[in-house]
Amino acid sequence: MNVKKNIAETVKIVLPLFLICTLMVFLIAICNAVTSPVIERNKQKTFDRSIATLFSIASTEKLKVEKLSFPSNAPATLISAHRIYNEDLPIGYLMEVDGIGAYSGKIRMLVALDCSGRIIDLLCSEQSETPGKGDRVLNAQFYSEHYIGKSSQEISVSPYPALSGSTKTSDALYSAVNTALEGYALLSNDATGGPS
Amino acid sequence: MNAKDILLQFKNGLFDRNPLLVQVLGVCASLAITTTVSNSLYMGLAVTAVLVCSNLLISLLRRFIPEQVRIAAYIVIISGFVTIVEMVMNAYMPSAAAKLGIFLPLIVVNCIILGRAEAFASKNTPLPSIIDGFAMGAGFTIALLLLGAIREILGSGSFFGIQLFGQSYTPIGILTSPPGAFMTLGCLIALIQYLKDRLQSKTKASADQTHKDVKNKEVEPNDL
Amino acid sequence: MNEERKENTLLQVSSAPHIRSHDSTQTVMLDVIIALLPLLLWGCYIFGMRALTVTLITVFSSVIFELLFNLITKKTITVLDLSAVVTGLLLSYNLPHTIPFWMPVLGAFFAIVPVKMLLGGLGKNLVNPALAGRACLLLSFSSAMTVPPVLTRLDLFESYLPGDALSGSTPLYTVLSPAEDGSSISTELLFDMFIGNESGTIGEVSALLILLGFLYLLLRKVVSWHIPLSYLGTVAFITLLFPAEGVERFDVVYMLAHLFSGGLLLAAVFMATDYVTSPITPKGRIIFGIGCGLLTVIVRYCAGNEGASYAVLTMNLLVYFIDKITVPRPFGAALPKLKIKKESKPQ
Repeated sequence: MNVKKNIAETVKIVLPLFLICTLMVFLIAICNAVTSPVIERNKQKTFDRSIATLFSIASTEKLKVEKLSFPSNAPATLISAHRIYNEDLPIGYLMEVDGIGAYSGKIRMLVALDCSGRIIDLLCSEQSETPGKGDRVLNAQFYSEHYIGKSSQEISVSPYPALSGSTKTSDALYSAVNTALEGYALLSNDATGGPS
Repeated sequence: MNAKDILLQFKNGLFDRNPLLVQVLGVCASLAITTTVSNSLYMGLAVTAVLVCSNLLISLLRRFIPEQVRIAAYIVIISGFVTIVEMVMNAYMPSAAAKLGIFLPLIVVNCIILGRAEAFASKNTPLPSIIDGFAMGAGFTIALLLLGAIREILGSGSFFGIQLFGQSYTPIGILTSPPGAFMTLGCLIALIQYLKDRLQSKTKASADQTHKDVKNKEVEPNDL
Repeated sequence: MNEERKENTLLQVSSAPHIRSHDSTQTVMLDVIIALLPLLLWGCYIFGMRALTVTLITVFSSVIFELLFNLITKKTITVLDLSAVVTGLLLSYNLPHTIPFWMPVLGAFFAIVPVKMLLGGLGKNLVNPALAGRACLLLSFSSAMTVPPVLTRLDLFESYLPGDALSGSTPLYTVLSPAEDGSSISTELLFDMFIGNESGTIGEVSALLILLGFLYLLLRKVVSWHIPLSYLGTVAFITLLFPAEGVERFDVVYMLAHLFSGGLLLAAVFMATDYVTSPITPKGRIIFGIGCGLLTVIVRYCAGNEGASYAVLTMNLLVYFIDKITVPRPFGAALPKLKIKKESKPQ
């Protein structure tokens, strides 16, 4: 008798909660069905757009992106590597890398390299540096002055790219670019996925 | 439900019981995201949307939800709506969603929403609950906008991302950092208390009649 | 003034203690100002007359903000106790002489209004107002607050144009980042640091004059030795025994360079000893000083920045607790329970 009553009590509590959960799951599922294709399209669009700006291509229609796998000894800050084709011709590589040692957190950079390993352009996709101070080095002017058009050897001999007052961010940017170049070197040694 | 009640509810939400400036609820997210006006606006709208939806559903289900597990039920409903709002924002306002970042899902633990569910929606019919959601949401949004405007104008010299002053202006950087947020919020709370005091002494002087309490059964949301 | 007259004309019957000091806030502050003034003269000599302009602006705005606050809130006017002048002087000593003129005004506002007056005025502030003002400016205008690496002399109203300051470093930076080839700091540089022939903020450069000021305050019994000596002693101890990487142990020159560079001496002598924001008991003061020293060295080692001001600010916030654990036993009060038990055992 008592047990039966207890069970009835429990069911009285649990059942409504269960029904509410089901209702919410149902609502979320409907919403997900509507929004997930849009979100997916958005992501693809932003990725395409950043590739287009990095490689300065007018239209993204004939762009083809092939994800590359890199060897296990690649640095952990190398997030991803893609080979980019435009009109079926390889135009270069896109490296997604993290710069470590920044003033606040990490900076994530997209580094575009051409087929011979020269830097085409840089784009910062994530950072939280001090506005007006650390972020002074994360702009097109600083990139073009110190990095763009240069290969790995040229960067290693040119003066160390840093601004006073933003040393740490400069260091992080330098490490990010070096990681990208290192990733390129690894890929070119690797016969299967490499550019040679 | 007449026009006077609705007006009273809005006065409560915007001024007398402003969720941020008087009840001081949901401070964490407010301090973190009010570095710019546009962030404040998006945050305020997202909170309002969740608040209205959850208030509506909770007041519809108020007889159905068992007393013992009501908080769990509220949290399930609130987190469901937050997920939905997050999905919608990710789909149709991706840049805004990216700016709010982690603070968008964190609306789940925003005390205002649970506070209103417990204090108002669970005891009132759907229509007043919706109005309460709008009123409280508007109060929260306006408070965020004030905070955001002060911090963005003085701290970065811009408004809605538009540079207001020339190159010669040096922004007061401390306002965009967390200590600046605390100081600005403190000043705003002081200001609204001053205004409330002024208003109270005025009404006392003009009429002896004591201020009529809110008609709807409302409990002070303590320790939420 | 009024109180003094009352004292002379009225016969007072009061409870013990009957011995009264003639010191008032005003005389104490006057002594501090006297100890601080040589630093200003040296600052003007080494940095040019712009240092004087910055100092005057800071002092005047501090006094005016306090006066305005008194008038607006209809409280007694407290500017005559000279504490605002001391706050203004100390704040300006913490600023580079190259700072735009409106920034010290903002710093003085922050130091006087939110930090000091809103909490109830002198005696009720939690942290040193001058240091809080400096911290506010540092957080807001980090580039304008950066000391020019090379000693630059500027005239009264000359504005400073930061050039391509890629090279050169302040002595503090030289100390904090030891040369990679293992060479230690030269004795000439150390001598320059001691005399004050180097770049820095207006009042921090001359170790000699700060120490003379300290001596004066000690002789006038305005400050006690506990805080400055325990503070500096802790820094000396750590830098001597546990120097940064690349420096040998027991390198006295390195230790002295740490003591003489940056704002450490200024903070130890004039800021950490602030009556309001330091512990009351000698024991508490020594704990306070050791805490300041530890934090300063930790910030210097780990962040590569001057940590003295933040160390003192942090310890200021802990004063309440330090005072609580170092309360002396009142005369005639019972001993703590534990001791009584021990005494009663043999019986």
